[in-house]
Amino acid sequence: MPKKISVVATTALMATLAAASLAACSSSSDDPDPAAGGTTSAAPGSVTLVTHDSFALSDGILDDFTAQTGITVKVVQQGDAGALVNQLVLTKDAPLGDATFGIDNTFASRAIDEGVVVPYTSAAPAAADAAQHSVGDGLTAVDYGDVCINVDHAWFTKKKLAEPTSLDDLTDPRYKDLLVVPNAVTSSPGFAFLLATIGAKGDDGWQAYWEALKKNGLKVADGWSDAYFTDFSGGGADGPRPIVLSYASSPPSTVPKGGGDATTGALLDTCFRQTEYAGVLAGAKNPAGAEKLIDFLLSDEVQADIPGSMYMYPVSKAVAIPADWEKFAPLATTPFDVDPAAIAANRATWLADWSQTVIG
Amino acid sequence: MSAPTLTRPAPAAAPSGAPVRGRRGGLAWFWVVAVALPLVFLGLFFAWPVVAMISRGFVVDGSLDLSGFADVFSRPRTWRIVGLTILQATVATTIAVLLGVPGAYVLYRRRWRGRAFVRALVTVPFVLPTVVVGVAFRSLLVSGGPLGFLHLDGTLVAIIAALVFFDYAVVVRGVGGMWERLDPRAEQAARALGASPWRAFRTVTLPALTPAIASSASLVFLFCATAFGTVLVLGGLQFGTIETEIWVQTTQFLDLRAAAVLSVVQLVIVGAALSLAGRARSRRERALALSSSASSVRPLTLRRAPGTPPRDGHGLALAAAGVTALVVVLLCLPLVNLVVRSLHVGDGWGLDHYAALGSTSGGMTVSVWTATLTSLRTALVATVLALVVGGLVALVVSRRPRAVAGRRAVAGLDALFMLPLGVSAVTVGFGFLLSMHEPFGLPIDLRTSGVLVPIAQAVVAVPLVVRTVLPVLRAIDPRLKQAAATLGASPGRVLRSVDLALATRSIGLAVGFAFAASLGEFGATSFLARPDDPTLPVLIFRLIGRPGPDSYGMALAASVVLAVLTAGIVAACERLRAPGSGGDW
Amino acid sequence: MIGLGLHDVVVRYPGLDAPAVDRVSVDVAPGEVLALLGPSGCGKSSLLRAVAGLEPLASGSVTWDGVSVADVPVHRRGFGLVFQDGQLFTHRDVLGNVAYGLRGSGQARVSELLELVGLAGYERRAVATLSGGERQRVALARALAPSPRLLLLDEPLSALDRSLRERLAVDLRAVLVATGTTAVLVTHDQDEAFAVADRVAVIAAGVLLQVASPPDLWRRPASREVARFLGYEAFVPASSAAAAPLRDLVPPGSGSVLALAEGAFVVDPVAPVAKGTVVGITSRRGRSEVRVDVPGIGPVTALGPVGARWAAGDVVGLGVDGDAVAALD
Repeated sequence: MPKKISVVATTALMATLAAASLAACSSSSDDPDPAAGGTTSAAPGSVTLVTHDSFALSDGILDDFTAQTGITVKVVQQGDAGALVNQLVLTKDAPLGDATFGIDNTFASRAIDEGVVVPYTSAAPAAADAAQHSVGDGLTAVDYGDVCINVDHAWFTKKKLAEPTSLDDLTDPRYKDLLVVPNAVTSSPGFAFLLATIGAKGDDGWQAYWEALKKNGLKVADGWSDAYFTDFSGGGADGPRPIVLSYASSPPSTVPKGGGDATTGALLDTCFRQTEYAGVLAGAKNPAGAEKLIDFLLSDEVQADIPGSMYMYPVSKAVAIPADWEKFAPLATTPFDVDPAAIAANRATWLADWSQTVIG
Repeated sequence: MSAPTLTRPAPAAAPSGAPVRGRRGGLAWFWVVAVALPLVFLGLFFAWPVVAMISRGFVVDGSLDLSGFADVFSRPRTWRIVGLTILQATVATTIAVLLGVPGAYVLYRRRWRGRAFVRALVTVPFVLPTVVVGVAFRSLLVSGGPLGFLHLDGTLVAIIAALVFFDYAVVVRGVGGMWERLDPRAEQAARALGASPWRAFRTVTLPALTPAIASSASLVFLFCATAFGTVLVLGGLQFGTIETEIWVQTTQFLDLRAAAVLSVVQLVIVGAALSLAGRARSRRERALALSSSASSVRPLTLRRAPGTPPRDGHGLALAAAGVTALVVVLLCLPLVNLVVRSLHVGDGWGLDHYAALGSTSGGMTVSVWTATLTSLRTALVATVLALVVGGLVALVVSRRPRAVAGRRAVAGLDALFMLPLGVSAVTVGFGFLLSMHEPFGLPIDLRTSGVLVPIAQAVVAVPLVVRTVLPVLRAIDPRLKQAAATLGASPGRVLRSVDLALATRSIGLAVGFAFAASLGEFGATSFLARPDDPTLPVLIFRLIGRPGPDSYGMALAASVVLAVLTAGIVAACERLRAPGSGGDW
Repeated sequence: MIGLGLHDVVVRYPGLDAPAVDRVSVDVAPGEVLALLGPSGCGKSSLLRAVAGLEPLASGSVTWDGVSVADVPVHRRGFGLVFQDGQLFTHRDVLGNVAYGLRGSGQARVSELLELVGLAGYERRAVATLSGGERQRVALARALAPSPRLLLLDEPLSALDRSLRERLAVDLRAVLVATGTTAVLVTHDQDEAFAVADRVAVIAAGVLLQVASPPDLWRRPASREVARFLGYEAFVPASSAAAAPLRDLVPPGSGSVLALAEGAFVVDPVAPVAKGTVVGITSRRGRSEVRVDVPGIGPVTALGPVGARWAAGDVVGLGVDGDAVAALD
């Protein structure tokens, strides 16, 4: 027993010492030099990338960046795209890092308006491709994808029912109780689908459309994974609903193990295009490194890796798309579109109206 | 006694009459540190971030603006979510207590084969990431699922069931830890006075357990009132609580004003609940006669033990066992569902998802095993922090100062350290971003350094440690300490050789609880900016959100790993509880 | 003053108007055993706890060898304390309990003390396995181990059964004498106080009524209150006719009232000095105790022979026993 006590006592002592040293440090902090600006961990030769939880690149790719430039990359991630943007806004006086990746077109205006990013024009070969997705000076498009209604082919074949093809089909009583979508307030694909309907039905028509969806037995799940893996019949869990809001890139993952055709497909007339951007953070300690990193994100190496690791299409037209994507994950030719500035201006109103209409 | 031949020893051993100030000074220092260290910890890593975040919502252009209150309170939605928050938390807490008390009896007061396993098993839900539980739960309840016929999907009932699922273990462990060592003689005395087994339980045992029940109930209430993922996944926003609303306002709308108002409302509700529980506790909390569990724990048999008369409480024990068995089966349903689904590969079955856990393919930055190590390391640091801070708090709060002001201060300290459980993880997480950039001018950006992860987990684990250790410390008969003092033990030695020695017996429980909570912590962790070495729950969350072919199966497999890991650690800590021999606790 | 000194000690509890201990002064000489005797709730335990330093003094002082101990914390007073229920440390074995107050291991001292209290070889026993009597013996050994300059005993035998209590009282006295321990014993049991103590202090409602050696106390209670508590059950003016057979038993002029303890009258059919009517009969240790109504005195308890058989209403002859009669002022 005494042994145990001494362990407790020792631990307490150590913690006390730690606290004491912290306190000592604090008292020694005579006014920090504002001219020194940020300081922090950004040692020369390192760059901090602030991104969301879905950011991923294959093993070793960031090491290649270090090998090429001598700059090491520290990745800091938290939350989803929305949380990311809002955290960047909150911390813009003392930024969390040098570069950011993962701001999408639904949040782009907020980031630019709040001055989170500083203008940068990449000189990478793919920059011209990226420029086609431009939303403003501070953000460089890196990848994009379509959020579309997906259907379970197998289910419709079995039921001998024609598959829906358009947004309007979804309100058809033949498809009653078959659709599940993620919540527009809590899920970014959910919001993207709301934008698709706003793009399709106009600022004053979308509420009526959702009323009709609701009348036709719409189910709202919390997030994408919830809708896809629990409610959707084609997501591997044999859920009850054969129509789900997902991505254009989802069908390839339903190709059976032995090969063959995907058992699900995306309805390309129901899509909204999501584009993800990178940018140099205002107040970055290593803006030059951040710029290099953005160039690197547009390099063929990263661009080619994006479909496999982030399930998005690369902006670069120079890299090859995986074969099963070519076959089962084509992009929409004319996705619905909403102006980013309008999104920024109306996001709260739209979501409040949507909640009112759909959730009640 | 033998012949009184002993001679009086030299009186040199008798101390002089003059007090020795130096040693008392040392003890005074200890108490200063014991109060100051936790306060500094809480102030730095909880109060400061929260105040920083909330004040962002109330300070507009440098001046205080409280118009947010009028605005937010004029929305009918606000009142609905406040009502829903209280309703969900109250109902779930009540059910958790009603089910948890029999569970505590069966799992801690009775002995039977497999008890250790079941004890660990019921703790598993407590640490599973909400998103995993959401999936496991919803796929049971969704129409066409095994329990689809109940039509519970998307209902309030489903949310409450999930909240109970999460927090059942809190009641069982909290109450069981006390019950195990409750002297059975008081109940026996009541029986001898003509009380039926039920009446004896109701009038003697239950009042004695009240502090532990109130303690656990307040924990459960806080967990429920701040439940976030569960509510969203199972009910969606129509059953939104203050917590989900803060999340929406902060992460989606960046409406810091509304979020700040809601944070204050949350604090008020949590504060009210805490003071209510504190009152229930202090009315009952006093020196309880504790005995060794060896003497009070009896075997559980299905048939009445030979020689016991009928109506001697066997029915009551069986009823408790029945309820507990049912609860355990219900707890197992989502867990089994999880395991089954993790073995589902394509159209068949296999261990493929488990085999893939070591890989970093498909754009995963680290393998599940790496994340597991990260989780273990982080949880270890968090547990040590929580034990030191929580242990000190429990020690301070267990004092009974004579002065009324002193007693109030102690009670206030107790409630203060419960607050982290009742304050939104979003507020804390975002608050860290505002406060931890070069704190005190230190030239480090704590926000992205990664040290905040174990600290944030420790802040949440501290209340669990306090709630586990405190009832034991408070139940120590003050005369035991007086006896030690009259034997010449200095207050410091009394503290060590009585308070700490007895509290150490509950430390296994506290360690298990704190470790489990840290291991499964997701809320605060997920809102921290953190370097790219995700903990297991964070990795699971990432996996489940990826559209890739096998990532969903891997997420489920990783969840099973997390569950098994937790159960194993909790079981190991249970063993730690009974060190040495001699029929002690 | 040498030894323990209490001077006008007052103990108050918050929220109560009346003090629990009201201006008590008494001294205990080195090696002396003082009993604090009184009914439950009379403040004797509060006084003991105040001496130990466990209750704050509202006023007055506690001294040792003439020096106030007001500034000395409990653990440095060198005052041992034995509780009614022992308060053994359940997380330590017998050795761990007895050795608790010793510096160093003190194995030999523990064995010595265990032998002294009749528990030789009990070192490794868990306290949970001990009987009530054994527990109190361990508690006593534990309190004696650090050789306290004063031992405080708070109803140490009250939780035990009667025969054990009586035996332990004798043992306790023997141990205290053998070790030369100065002690203060709190008890509500007059027999226990008389068996263990050199002097007895009678306390009621927080006030010290009388301090005296057991025989002095018995022979000359200071008041009816003291006398009643000691077991005197009837009081009769010395000048009354009914007191005539009793008057000669006390020194002449020693008091105006005679107090009669149980057994002041003895059933004596041979040479009765008084008569009484039988009200009822009980038995104590084989002898009969006869409740008799004596004219002019009232109901008293008279001792009778073994196996006495009377019915209520019988008139019996009574003799007197001088040791059960005291004179009061």
